[in-house]
Amino acid sequence: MSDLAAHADPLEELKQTNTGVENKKMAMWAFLASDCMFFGTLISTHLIYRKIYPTVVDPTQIFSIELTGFSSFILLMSSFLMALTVSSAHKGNLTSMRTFLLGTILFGGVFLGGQVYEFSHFVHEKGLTLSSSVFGSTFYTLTGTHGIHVALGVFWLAMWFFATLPKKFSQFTREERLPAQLITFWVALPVVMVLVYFIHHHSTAYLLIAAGWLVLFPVLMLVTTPLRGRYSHVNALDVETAGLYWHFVDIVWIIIFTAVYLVEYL
Amino acid sequence: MSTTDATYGIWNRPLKKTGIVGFLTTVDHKKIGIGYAIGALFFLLVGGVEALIIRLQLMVPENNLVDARTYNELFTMHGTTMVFLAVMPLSAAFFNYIMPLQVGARDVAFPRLNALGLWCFFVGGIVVNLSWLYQVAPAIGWFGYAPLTTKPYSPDIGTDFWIVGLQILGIASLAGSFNFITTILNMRAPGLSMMRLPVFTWMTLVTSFLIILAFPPITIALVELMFDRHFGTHFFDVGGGGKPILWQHLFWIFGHPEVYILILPAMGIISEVLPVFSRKPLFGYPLVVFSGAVIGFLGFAVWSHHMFTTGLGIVATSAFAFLTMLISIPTGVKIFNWIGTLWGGRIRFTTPMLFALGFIWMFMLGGFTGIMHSSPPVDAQQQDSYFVIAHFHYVLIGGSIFALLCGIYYWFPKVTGKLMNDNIGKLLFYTIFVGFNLAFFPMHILGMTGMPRRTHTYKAEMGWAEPNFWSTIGALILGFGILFVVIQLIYSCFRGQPSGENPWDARTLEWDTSSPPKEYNFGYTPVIHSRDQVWENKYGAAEKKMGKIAPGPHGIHMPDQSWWPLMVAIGLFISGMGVIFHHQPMSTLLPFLPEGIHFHILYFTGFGMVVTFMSIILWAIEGPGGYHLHPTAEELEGAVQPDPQQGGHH
Amino acid sequence: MSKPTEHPEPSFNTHVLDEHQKYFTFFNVAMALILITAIELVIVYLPINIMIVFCALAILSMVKFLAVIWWFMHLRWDRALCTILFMIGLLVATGTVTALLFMFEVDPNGAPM
Ligand code: HEM
Repeated sequence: MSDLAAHADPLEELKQTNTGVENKKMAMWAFLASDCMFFGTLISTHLIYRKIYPTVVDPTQIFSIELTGFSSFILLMSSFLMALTVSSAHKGNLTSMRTFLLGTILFGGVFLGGQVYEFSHFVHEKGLTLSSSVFGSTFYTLTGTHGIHVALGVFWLAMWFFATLPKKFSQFTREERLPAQLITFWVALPVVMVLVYFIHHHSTAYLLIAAGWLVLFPVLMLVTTPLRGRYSHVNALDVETAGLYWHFVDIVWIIIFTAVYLVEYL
Repeated sequence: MSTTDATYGIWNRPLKKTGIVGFLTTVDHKKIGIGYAIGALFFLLVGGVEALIIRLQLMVPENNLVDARTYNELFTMHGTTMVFLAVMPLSAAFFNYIMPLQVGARDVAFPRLNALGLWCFFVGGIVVNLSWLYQVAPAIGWFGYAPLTTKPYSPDIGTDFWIVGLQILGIASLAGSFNFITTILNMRAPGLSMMRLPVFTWMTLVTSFLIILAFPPITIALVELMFDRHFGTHFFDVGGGGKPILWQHLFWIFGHPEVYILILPAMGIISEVLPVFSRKPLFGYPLVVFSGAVIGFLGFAVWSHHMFTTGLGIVATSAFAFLTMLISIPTGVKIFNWIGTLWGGRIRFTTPMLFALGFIWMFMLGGFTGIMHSSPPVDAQQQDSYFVIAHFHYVLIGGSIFALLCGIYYWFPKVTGKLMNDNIGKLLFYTIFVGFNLAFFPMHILGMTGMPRRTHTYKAEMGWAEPNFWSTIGALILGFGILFVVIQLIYSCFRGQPSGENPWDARTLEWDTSSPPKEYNFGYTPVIHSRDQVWENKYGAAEKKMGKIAPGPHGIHMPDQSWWPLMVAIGLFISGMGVIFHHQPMSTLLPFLPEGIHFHILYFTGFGMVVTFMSIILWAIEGPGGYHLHPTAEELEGAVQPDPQQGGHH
Repeated sequence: MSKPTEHPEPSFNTHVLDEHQKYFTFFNVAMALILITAIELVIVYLPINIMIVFCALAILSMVKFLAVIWWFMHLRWDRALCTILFMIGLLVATGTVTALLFMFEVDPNGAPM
C-alpha cells in the first residue's frame, strides 16, 4: 500500500466496487425494494376489504387521529434525527452522533409506546380485535407488521449505540458529554411516564413502565458489554445502512397514515 | 482485518475445512452450491417417485393403488417438491457455483448469508416433508387455494407444515437473491462490463430480482393464512367476510413470476451451452439479455391469466390476455437467437448439446400451448384439464429440467475435474426424451377430450384408458432415465476420467481456472477484454486476451467459516415447529408425550426465536473475519504485480 | 471519492464541511415534513369537495415520501443506481397495488357480520 492509499478514508475503500456503491448499502436498497412489495401486499389487503365493505365499520369511531397524528410527527422527527446521526457518523463526530442516535431510539420507542397504547385502547375500549371483523384482521396485521419493523429498527440502532460506548466503564467519564447523555436517556422516559400518570390517566401501568425502565437500563448496559468498544469509523457505513432501513419504515408510515387513517375522515 | 482473530468473542471460530464440521460451517460458494445440488437432486427423486405413484394410479381405469386422499396428498407434495425443492434449488446450485466464477469473484458478497440460504433450504425441505412422517401430508394442491386451506376444510396440521415450510424456503431464496444481486453488480472482475457478462449471469441477476419482488406477496399471503388458521382472523374465511379470491390473486402475484424463476435460469444455461457446441458466439447477445429482462418484468403483469375463469370482468380479462400474449414476443426473440446461434455453426452433438437442442424444441411446444390458453375463451375449455398438465410439464420438464440436466453435464467437469461418459449420457438423453414425450404428449389429447386434472380415477367408458396407459409407460421410462442420470453422476464423481481445465473448449471465464477451482477461485485477478474471454485467450487477437494481476504481498483474503448461519436456520426450524403444533395435543408431536396437554405457540416458537436472535447477534459480533492464502508461483504465471496506486487491496 | 490531488489539501476537511451543509438541508426538510403533516390533518376536516381533498392528500403524502427518500435517504447525493434499485421495487409494488384495487368491487350483500 502506498502512503496515499494508507491515509485514505477506509470508507472510501469500501466504495471500490464496480458501481461505487458499497456492498452493504446495495443489499439494503435491494431489500427495501423487496420490502415495498411486502407492504404493498399488506396495504392492498387492507384497502381491498375497505373497498368491498365500505360501510361495515366506521373507523373514525375507533381511531384517535390526535394520537396517530402525534405518532406520525414523532416518527418523522426520528427520521430527521437519524439523518443527523448518519451525517455525524460520516463526520466522525462521536459525541453528536451519540446524541442523535439516542434521540432516534427514544422517538422510535415513543412511537412504539403510542402503538401499544393504541392497540390496547382499540381492543379494550372499542372491541376491535384480530378476529372481531375483517377490518380488525387487516388493520392489526398491517400496522402490527409496521410496528415489528420499528421494533427491529430500535433494536438494531440500540446495538450500534452500545457499540459506540467505550469498552470499560471507567473510560466513560473521559468521553465528552457521555455521562450526561446516558443519564438524560435513563431518566427521560420515567419522567414522561410520571407526568402522563398525573396529567392524563391515573393508570399504574405508567408507573410500572417508569420503574421498569429505571431497572432495565442498567441491566442493558451490563449485558451489552461484549458490544462496547466495537464501533470505529468504518462502521459509519453500517449506521448508514441501518439508517436507510429506519427511513424506509418512516416512509411506510407516511403511506399508512394517509391511506389507512386520514382518508377515513373524508 | 488482516489475520484471523480466531478466538474472538466467547466461541472459537470453526477453522476445520473438511469433514462434517467443515461442511456445516462452510461459507465457500462452491461447497454451498454442491450442497444445494445434492439436496435438489434428492428431492427431484422424491418428487419423481410421487409422480410415478400418481401415474401408476392412473394407468388403468378405476384403479385402487392409492385412495383419493392419498392421491390428493401425492399431487400436492409432488408439485410443491418439484417447484420449491427440486428446480429452484438446482438453479440456485448453479447460481452459487457458477456465477461467482463467471464474474471472476473470489466469493459472493455476503458469504455467511449465502450459507444461511443453504440451511434454510434444507430446513424448509425437511419441514414440508415431515408431513409424510406424521401421515398428514397436505392435500390442498400446490397453490393451496382458500378456502380449502382454511381450518374448517383442512383441520389437520398438514397444511401448517406446508405453510411453514414454504415460509422458510422463502427466506432461503431471499437471502440468496440479495447476495447474487450485490455480487453481480459489484464484484465483477476489472473490465467485465455488464454487457460482457455471460448470459447465465445475466439471467441469475434477473431471476434474483424476480425472487426479491415475488416472494414478499406469498410471504404475506402465507402469514395471513396462518393467522386465519390459528388466530381467528378473516382474511380468507368466507363466514367472517373474507374473500378466498384474494388468496388466488396474492398467490399468483407470486406464482407467475415464480414460473419465470423456474425458466429463466434454464434459458441462461442454454445460452451458454449452444455457443460452445456450435463454436460460434451467441447470436444477438444484447437482444437475448434484453428479452430476458423484459420477460422478467412482464412476469409481474400477467398473474390473472391463471384466474380467467373466475370472472374478473371484461376489462381485466382482456388486459391480462393482451399482456400474456405480449410475453411470447421476447420469448420468441430468444428462440430465434438460439437458432441463429446454431445457424452455420460447427455443431458437436455432445450430451449437453443434445439436452440444449431438446430444450429448444420441447420448450417451444410448451410455449405454443401456452399461447393457446392465453386466450380466455380457449382457456375456459382447458382450465383444470390434463391439457394444462401437458402444457406446464412441457415447459417445466422439457424446459427447466432439460436445461438443468444440460447444465449438469456441461459443468460437471468444472465442478469435479472429471468427465461423465458421453455415450451413456446420450443414451440417457434419448431415454428421457422418448419417455417424456410418451408420458406427456397424450395428455394434450386427454385434456381436450375432457379429462380433468387432479382426478383420482376415471371410468373405463370415458375412453381415456389407452392414452393414460401409454402415458404411464412413458413416465416410467422418464423416471428411470432421470434416476440413471443421478447414478451416472455419482459414479462419475468417483470413477470419471480426468477432464482437464476446459474439456469443451468453452468460452466463458469459469473455464479459465482449474477444475475443480481452488478455494479462492482465481489465483490472480482476471482483467477482461472481451465477452467470450476464454475463447479469445485461445483463438483471439492479442489485444483481446485476458490480463492477470497477481495478489499483493498479503495474498488473497478469504472469509472465515461460521456456525451462526446454521444456528439461525435451526432456530427457524424450532419456531416453525412451534407454529405447526400450536394448540395440538402434545402426543401429536411424539407418541409418548401426554395427550391431555396442548402445545401453545410460545413453547417452541419463543425458544426458537431466542435461538434465532441470539445467533444473529453473535453473527454480527463475530464479523466476517478472514485469513490469507497465497497462490503458487505456477498459478501466477504471466500475472503482473498490482499497481501500488490502486491501493493493493487484498 | 476524495482524489489525491497535486494541490495541498486545505487545512479543514471539505468532507466535513459538506456534512455541515447537510445539517441545514435536513432541518428544512424536517420542518417541511411537519408542516405538510399539519396541513394534511387540517384539510380532512375542511368542508371542501371530497375529491379535491383526496387528491391533495395523495399529492402531499407523495411529496413527503419523496422528500424522505431524496434527502434523508441520501438518494440526492448517492449513485443513481440506488435510486434505480429502489424504484424497481416501488414501481412494481405500486402497479400491483393499483391493479389489485381495481379488480375488487363493493360487495352488494354487505358484510356477513
Ligand atoms: C418424472 C416426471 C414427472 C411426472 C411423471 C409428472 C406427472 C405429473 C402428473 C400426472 C400430474 C397431475 C396430477 C393430477 O393433476 O392429478 C402432475 C402435476 C404437477 N407437476 Fe408433475 N410430473 C413430473 C415432473 C414434474 C416437474 C419436474 C415439475 C416442476 C418443476 C412438476 C410440477 C408439477 C406441478 C406444479 C403439478 C401440479 C400439482 C397440483 O395440481 O397441485 N412435475 N405431475
